[in-house]
Amino acid sequence: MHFQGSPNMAEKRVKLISSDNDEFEVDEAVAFESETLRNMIQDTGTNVPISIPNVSSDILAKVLEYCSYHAETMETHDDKPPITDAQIREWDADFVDVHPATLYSLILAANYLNIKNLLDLICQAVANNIRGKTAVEIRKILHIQDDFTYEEEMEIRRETKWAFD
Amino acid sequence: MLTTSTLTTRRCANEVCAGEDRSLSSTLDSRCKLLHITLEMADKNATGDSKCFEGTKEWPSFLQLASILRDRLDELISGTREAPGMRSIIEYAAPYLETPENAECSSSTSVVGSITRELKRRVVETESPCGHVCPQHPAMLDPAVWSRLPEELLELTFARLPLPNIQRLRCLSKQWDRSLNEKSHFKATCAEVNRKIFALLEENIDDYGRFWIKLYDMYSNRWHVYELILGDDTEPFKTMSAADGGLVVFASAWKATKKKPLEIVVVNPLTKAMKVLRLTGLKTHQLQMMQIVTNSITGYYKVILVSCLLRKGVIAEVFDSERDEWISLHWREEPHPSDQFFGIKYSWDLESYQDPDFPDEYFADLDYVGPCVYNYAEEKLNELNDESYPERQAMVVCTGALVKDRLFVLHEEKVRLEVSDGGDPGEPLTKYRYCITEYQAQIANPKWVRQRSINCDPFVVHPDGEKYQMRLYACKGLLLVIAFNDEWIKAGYDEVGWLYDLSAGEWRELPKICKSEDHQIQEFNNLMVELRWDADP
Repeated sequence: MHFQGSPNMAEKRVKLISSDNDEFEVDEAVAFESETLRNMIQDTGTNVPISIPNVSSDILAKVLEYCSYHAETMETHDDKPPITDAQIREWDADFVDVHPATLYSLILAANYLNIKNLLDLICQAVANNIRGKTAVEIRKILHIQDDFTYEEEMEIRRETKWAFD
Repeated sequence: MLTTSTLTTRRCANEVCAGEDRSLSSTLDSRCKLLHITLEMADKNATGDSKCFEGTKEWPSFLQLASILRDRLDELISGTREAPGMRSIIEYAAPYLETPENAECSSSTSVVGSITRELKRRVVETESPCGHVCPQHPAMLDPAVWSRLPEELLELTFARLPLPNIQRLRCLSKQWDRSLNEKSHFKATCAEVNRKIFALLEENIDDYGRFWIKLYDMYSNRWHVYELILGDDTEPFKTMSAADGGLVVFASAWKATKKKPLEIVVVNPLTKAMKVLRLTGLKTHQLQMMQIVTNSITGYYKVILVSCLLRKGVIAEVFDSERDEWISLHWREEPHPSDQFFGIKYSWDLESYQDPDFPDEYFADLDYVGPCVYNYAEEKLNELNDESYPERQAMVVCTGALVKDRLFVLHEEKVRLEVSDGGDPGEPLTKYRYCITEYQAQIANPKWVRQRSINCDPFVVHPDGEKYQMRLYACKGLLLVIAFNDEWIKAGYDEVGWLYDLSAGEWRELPKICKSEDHQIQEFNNLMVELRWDADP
């Protein structure tokens, strides 16, 4: 499977192998969006394929889609107008509008591959979904055991009254 | 079992009815318990578990109790702002609200049904300003998926919630309560992720030792106001305050009786963590300047007190939190730049004020002198006067906000406007225009050196015929301008504010600030404070 990042063929290409043994080939600049891959490439060079044992190919494809778009936004072309911040924000918002199971796998992959901007983006997306939830709902979602007595919980609510207004 | 519940309900109801003069909190508790039980019973009744309940001799008394409850709740609901426990009730009742249709389908539970409907409506209203109620993405937060999220990533996610939501995490479990109360990895993550957050600290003039914290949350674009209580002292005293790196230091001095010594407290206004500094062996007498300087890397801080001693000049005493003790300030070599203490100098007007409640005693009033810097070599407090402002011809609206060695001054300039067609050419139009100038203190031969001007685009010109009172505040990386006029205040309007991000160079208009109890804004008693979850006193 080939992943077309930037058409600039002069650049070095990097081979990546997903957990289900699919092979991806991307520009070095795309792989460098990931701090983890950058360190690996700097250690072993671009000749050896890098295996990523805990990211499946569908998720790796998504991650590389993100990386190549963001690597592209860094490039300047004389013939094209630069991509605006608003355009990037819109693209990002579309990117995280996926099935929750995918979002969950993406957050783990972004963390493992150490792609700070992607991790920030997904965490923010999840936070936006949590923000309207009550304590009871959050406990349910995260399987957190409510270990307060009624009196203890009311005491905390009194102390942090402003946050409940 | 039903009989027991009904008895409990009745007891609670009696408590509620009899408890008018008891503290709100305890009646609120009773109300919550009552609501809990009533809704539980309604639930059982509606789902058919206890249809037998209807028609028994318990039923009329249950209905009666429910209607009492409804009346009490109506009182609470009618003024949500005055009902601090409203949200608690709603959250507590939330599990029982999931099937309101069931409760409504039984005609005999109409009282309970109306309570439930009203609560449901309130829940929706309360949630909607926060954005997502999320019925549109019911599967978005599927427990089967998200309960497996590693702790570290959960913390990263929670740290991106709006401030009140982070504060509410304390209610999740004892572990989360500790994470927000004690030194924790989560608080460090919050501080790292959390963009610039600040609050305005205002002294409550009527209630000594109490302060209003007006906290602005950028995510939800809302002000939250709450009280910070330093002590339950009813004696009048004067408070001096200073802030840095998420911590505020208060010095309460000159109580009427003078029996109590000076009291120095370091507080994190966000977590309300507090530390009273021991004052053993201190010579501090008449405090002239106080400052706190935090080290953003280690989190340690120093508090400096500069006092005036009779016939002995000025003395400086420093508390070092790393050593947890007061250290003497006798540096022979040049002090480190982080040990430079800039602050506001005050003087004490000893007999300026006589409190009618304490006719036999005077208590001193605190006068604002101006920005100053403590000079180690000479052991002197050098004033940094207005005289060095280059734009002296411009009218200074606000003497300025000091952040370390930077001073921001809000000026007002009279400008002549071009006469437009149709205007009276005989009378030139003049207007006032605002402008902020940043100065940096020069330590040798102390004076202010002009750094730059900051445009005031959103409020550059007075609207015609309106004269505003303006206040300028500053904390690390941010400026805040608050405008109000007496007419507004009389008419019950709120203050307007604009926030300037010094690094981005952008103004942002803030929502109106809730009117506080007292609008006598005293310039030097108000402070803009940077907030940090991880600042520990």
